[in-house]
Amino acid sequence: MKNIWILIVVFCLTTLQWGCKKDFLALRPDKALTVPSTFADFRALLDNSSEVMNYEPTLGTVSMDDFYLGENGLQGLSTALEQNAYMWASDIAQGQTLVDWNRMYQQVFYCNVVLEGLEKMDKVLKIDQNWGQIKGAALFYRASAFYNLVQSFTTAYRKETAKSDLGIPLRIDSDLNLIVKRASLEESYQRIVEDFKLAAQLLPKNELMLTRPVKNAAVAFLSRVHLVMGDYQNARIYAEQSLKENASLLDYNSLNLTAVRPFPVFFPNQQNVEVIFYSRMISFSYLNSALTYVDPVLYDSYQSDDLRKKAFFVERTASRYGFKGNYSGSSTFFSGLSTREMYLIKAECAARLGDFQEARSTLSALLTKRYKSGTVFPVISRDDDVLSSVLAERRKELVGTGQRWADLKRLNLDTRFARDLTRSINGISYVLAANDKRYVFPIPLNEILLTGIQQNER
Amino acid sequence: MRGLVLMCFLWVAFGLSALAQDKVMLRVEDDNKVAVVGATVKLNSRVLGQTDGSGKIDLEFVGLNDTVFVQHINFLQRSFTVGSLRQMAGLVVLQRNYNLLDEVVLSTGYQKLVASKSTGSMVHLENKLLNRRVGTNIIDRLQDVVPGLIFNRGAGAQVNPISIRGQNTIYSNATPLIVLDNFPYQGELNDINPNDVESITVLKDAAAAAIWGVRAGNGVIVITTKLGKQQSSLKVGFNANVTFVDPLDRFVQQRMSSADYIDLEQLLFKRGYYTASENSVNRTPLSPALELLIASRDGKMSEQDFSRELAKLKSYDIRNDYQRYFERTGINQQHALNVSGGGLNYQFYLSSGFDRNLSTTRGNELSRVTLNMVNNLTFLNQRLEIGTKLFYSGIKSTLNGLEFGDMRMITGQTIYPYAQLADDNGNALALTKDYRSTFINQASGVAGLLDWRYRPLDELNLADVSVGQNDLRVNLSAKYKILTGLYANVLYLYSRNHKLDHTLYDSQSYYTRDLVNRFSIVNSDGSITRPIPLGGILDKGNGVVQTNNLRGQLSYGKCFLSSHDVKVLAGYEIYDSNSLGYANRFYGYDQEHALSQTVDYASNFVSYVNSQSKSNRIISRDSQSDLTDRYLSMFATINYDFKDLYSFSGSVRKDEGNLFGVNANQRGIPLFSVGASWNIANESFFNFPMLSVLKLRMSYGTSGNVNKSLSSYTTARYNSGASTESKLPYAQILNPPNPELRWEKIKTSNLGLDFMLKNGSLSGSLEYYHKAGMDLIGDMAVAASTGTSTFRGNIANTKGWGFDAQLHLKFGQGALSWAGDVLISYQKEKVGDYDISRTAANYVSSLGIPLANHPLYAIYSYPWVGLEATTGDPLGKLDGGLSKDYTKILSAFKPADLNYHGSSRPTIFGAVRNGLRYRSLELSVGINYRLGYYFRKNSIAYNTDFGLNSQHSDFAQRWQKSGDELFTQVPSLPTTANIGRSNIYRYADILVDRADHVRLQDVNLSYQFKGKGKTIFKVYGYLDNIGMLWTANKWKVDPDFEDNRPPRSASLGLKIDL
Repeated sequence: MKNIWILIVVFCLTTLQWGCKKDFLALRPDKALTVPSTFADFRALLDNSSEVMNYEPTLGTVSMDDFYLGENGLQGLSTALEQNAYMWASDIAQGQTLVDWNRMYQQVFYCNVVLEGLEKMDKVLKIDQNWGQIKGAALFYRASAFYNLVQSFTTAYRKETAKSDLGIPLRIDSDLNLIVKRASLEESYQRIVEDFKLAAQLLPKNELMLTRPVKNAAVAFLSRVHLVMGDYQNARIYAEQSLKENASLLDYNSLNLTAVRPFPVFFPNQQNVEVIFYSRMISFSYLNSALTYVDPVLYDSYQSDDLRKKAFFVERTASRYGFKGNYSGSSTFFSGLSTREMYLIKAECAARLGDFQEARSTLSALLTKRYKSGTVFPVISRDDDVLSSVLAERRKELVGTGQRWADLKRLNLDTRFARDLTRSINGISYVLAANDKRYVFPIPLNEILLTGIQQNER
Repeated sequence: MRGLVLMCFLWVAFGLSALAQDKVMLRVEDDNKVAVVGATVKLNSRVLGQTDGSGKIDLEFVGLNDTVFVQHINFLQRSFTVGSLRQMAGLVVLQRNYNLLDEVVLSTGYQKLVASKSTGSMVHLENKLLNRRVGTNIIDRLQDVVPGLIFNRGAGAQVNPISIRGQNTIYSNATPLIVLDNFPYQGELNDINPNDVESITVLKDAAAAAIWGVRAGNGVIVITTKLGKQQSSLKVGFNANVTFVDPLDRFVQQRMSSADYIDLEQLLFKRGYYTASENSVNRTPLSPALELLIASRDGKMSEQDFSRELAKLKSYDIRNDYQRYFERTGINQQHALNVSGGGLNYQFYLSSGFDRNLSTTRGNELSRVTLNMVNNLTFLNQRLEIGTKLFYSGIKSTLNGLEFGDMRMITGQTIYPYAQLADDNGNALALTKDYRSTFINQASGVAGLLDWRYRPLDELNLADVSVGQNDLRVNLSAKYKILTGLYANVLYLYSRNHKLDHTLYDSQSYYTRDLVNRFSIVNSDGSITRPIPLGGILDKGNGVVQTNNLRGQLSYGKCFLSSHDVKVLAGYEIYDSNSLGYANRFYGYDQEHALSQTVDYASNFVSYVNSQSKSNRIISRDSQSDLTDRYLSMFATINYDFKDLYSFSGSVRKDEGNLFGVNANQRGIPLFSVGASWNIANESFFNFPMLSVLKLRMSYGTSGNVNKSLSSYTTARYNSGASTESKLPYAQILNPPNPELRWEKIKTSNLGLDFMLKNGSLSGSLEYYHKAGMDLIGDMAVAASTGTSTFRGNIANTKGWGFDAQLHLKFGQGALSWAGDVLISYQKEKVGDYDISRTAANYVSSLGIPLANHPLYAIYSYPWVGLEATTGDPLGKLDGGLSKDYTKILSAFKPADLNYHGSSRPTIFGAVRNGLRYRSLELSVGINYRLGYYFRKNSIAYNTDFGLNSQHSDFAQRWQKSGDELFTQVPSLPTTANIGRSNIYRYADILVDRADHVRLQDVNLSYQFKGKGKTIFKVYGYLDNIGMLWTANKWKVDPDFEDNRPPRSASLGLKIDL
């Protein structure tokens, strides 16, 4: 009898274990690891601004004309990638990975994980205000990644051909096994605009940190996107809407212009009133090389009373100037959204739409904060000159913020502003003609091989 | 299971039938009336013969009063007078005591197997062999005694110090599973006192190891500790030894001379290499020679003074000072005492051990106390057996020493070779380490700043770094005999390992002074604000690992129809291990009162060193972790033996873990093994009387491997964000979802042959194995637009095969005897298809990157072309011609274009051990060899620092003038820094050669003598790491320890058994 009792006990023990097996094995191996499923998890993914989010491509800045390299500067660049981009070579990554592409799609992946996670949440939670705000943030980040990809890897937007021009793969699903082909340029822009519009509805007015998008950031970005699309009416509407929310400008008269970093360190106190959304360029050695100088023509175009001349540039060697005017207040290249850009978009759109007075007054509102107090900045007398003046100020104001490449591409479409870029490296001169195919960077080889999508011609 | 066997009483029956007056037929049986085959019957000491396949033997007896002995490895010896045998018409009952078995008993951690019936590849290491070496660590004793087991050196050796039959994984755990007394051991190996270890069994193939399931893929090392013997008198054992360890001879290292180094600095100084550093806002440190050069250039020093001072610096060598002040002869002491004994129903073993190791690095020492209490009780007429084991181990390691390689400048550069650590009177001298001496001199004039000089010798006295470890293990077991042959067994383990890290940077230590100063703010009125308060800085780390492991199993053993011996075992196991850890830093620590002060972690501070550096934050060292490892496992084994001729074994196991999530677990396929053996020598047709053992075994099966870094779900890791700009907590996605994730699988086939000559003069085994790693975790390229450029999943595979052979020779008996052991292992391994290949530069510069159809740890190189005669620049081939465009040359290399030399891990290795005994004097000499692999010799790496960091003595051999290229391959000093130029030489084939070598490993000499009563004394001496006997490479350097020879040591010990 006793034997049977023991057998029973043993088997009971065994079956009891089976009973609670599911819970026993469901425990996470590492508490620091989490399967993202709560608002806090999703928020934390989007708050990964140190490794993934709030980064923007840099290749365009390496290729654009505001900066150039001094002697031996090219050899000093740490990657062949940067050297090739600087020389406008036809192949850039040479089969290697391309951080500009990878990082943007990493952002897209994070956003998709969040968006899918939000969809899977319980109905009760979907009416929580967090749900909408996080969804808005994910849409914002994804749209900005798509926007940045489009600027680097597609041709400039032209309404007439956008439906047949190649856009980018629009990944809206986190599944790794999916093969996503390139959408048309029109579809790509539509997706960006829609996502920003929805984000603008969902995002809150204020956030803890400006690394997080707020409603005004989505509005400002919509203004930027429409400008690039040549939709000046809408670009102006959004710029005005954004300025209504925040029209503050930093008076450069209050800055210590000779300081190594004239602008206040942005974190943690976020003292720069102009910043709407904080992001920065992916760190390339080109940006902080001591041999990267500002284009002398551009430098000379700042008048002596223009405080930006001192706030933005530092003399490195005899009459060679480096850029120091980052809104990050550090060596990091700020590329986010700021009120000054909204002023410039408003002014440009007004000029393009023939509202010259508005363009002049908008521009002067900005420039009063940029010129030495009490000095007079140039007045644009002829209406015909307003647009070109606004564009010139745009280049001067937004130098080193990553906007130039997109500007070059869109302005090249207009014969009045199209220009060929030239470079002299080790005695050889290189030319990048307006509307050259090389304004579109090649997609990394691995992407082509693994998905069969169409490569850009260079 | 020891207990299982122990409780299994067998009965031997002797059936006698007299055929004639002086002839008797003896039949030996067990209680199931099964014939006992191969029992030896002796008359006095004369062997009469062995029982045959039906347990019978014909005996001729001389007289009624003669004594007959019946012996069999599985049974207790019995003796009878012939007269009593004749009278015994009935059965003679023998109780079997497995603890007294002479036969090798192999432990798998789940059950005990008799070696002659095993089908798997197992190596048993008995106590005597384990004690041949001297040392604190039990695993070290496996060196040179197990075929197929290798101690890795070089790349990957830190993580995987030993491998059994190669490495069959790429990114997952590659260390063998260690089992201590039936349960997996996760603690520190140093916690196990070798003196408490009875034996070790190494399980190499699937038949042996598959019972351990997903953790058995790398082989299993089963450690069995000592237990008192049944019915034995009280025994006392004492062992003490002392080991003297030679410090490393630093002058073996191939280091640039001080004169060469200063010449190099002088040259670079002239080129303006240091101009940027000289004007650096960060006060980049400049060596004393450079400061002299600056002073001389600026006219602040006479030419005469300059040359005199420079000559003085050239005469110093940091190694002299380092050896004198920072190293010593290491002394390791070991004391162990144990008491054991037992009655019929009770056995015990008590032991204590004390070790103290003074490292060759001054300030480093380790002390260990181990306590061990083992009890075994039987109740209910021996139906119930209860066992308890209690282990305690306490280790305190003090790590105050300063390692040679730790002396670096803030730039990460190795300290200048002419640094002086002490003056002639032994007073500590300061080094230039983090800042320019001019800056430090100037800062020392600022009131309120702390002394900013770094004096290594003072640091040695101020250091207070220790690691304390307490390990407690409680084993409980109960076994109940339900019916004859049927047992229920419950085993339980609780272990708790507590680790306490303590690092106190004294208020006077350089670390503290530097940090306080760097954050100091000198106010306009001259007062000082210190964001980091005065006082020490204390880092505390605390980790507790608690493991609960419960196993329930039923076993049944029976012999059917006289010759079918079946053993079945099945069970269920729960494993739960939790590891909790946290670390804290305390600023302004007052040791006297154990008080600390708060600091402001959130604000940005301006650096005192560089006033432009404004966003410095006080480092927080607070962290915590909470890890849990859980398994549920089911297992079953079956062993079947037919007449000691044929044996079959099978096992099946299924593991489920918390790693994968429930869905993945459900799809898991059980791991299994099958094995068979054939004792050919026992066959009736076998007709070679010379051979007493000839056994063929084969096995096949799968085991698994664990990779804890992956999950089937999208997993993210939280980060506090304390160190980021926004300071918001954030999460990082570690794994994209992978619902297909599963355990790695390793398929092993093994074919073995065991043999022994009748007189035992030659025995050994030969094994062939084949291992295939399947579903291994590897990287696969995916389109970057997915958000990840590589995907880690079960996509890789490896293949490996090899031979293990072991020979044991024995000659002579009586006063003089000799025994020899030869171990030979041959292994080949390679990664199978592999999707991703990296750049050629990756393969030459680092080991362990998988490339399809090559060993994981392979040596590749660039083909060497030569030096250009006019410049001494290395040349390379490009587009059919010679070129110096290094970036282009090197980027043109595809992995397939590289020279592939071979594995960087030995493909043939083993040992030869010679034992000579004259009466009680024994000498054992161990020689080991490692062959069939390659290494890359160190040389000057100019990199971007012109060799200032690598400081290799080959610098002296560099090309300096035309014509030098005829007898040197070392490139000239480059005019501009060029990584490609540096690498084309550093990774050239001329620096790769065969690493084959033979080493005289160790010598053990012992003398044993009897004292009063049963007392036995043994005195022994042991020399370890004696030296290299032969090496194949052209430079005659030690390929495994080019700059860090293993420390030579000499031990002296005494062992007493009462």
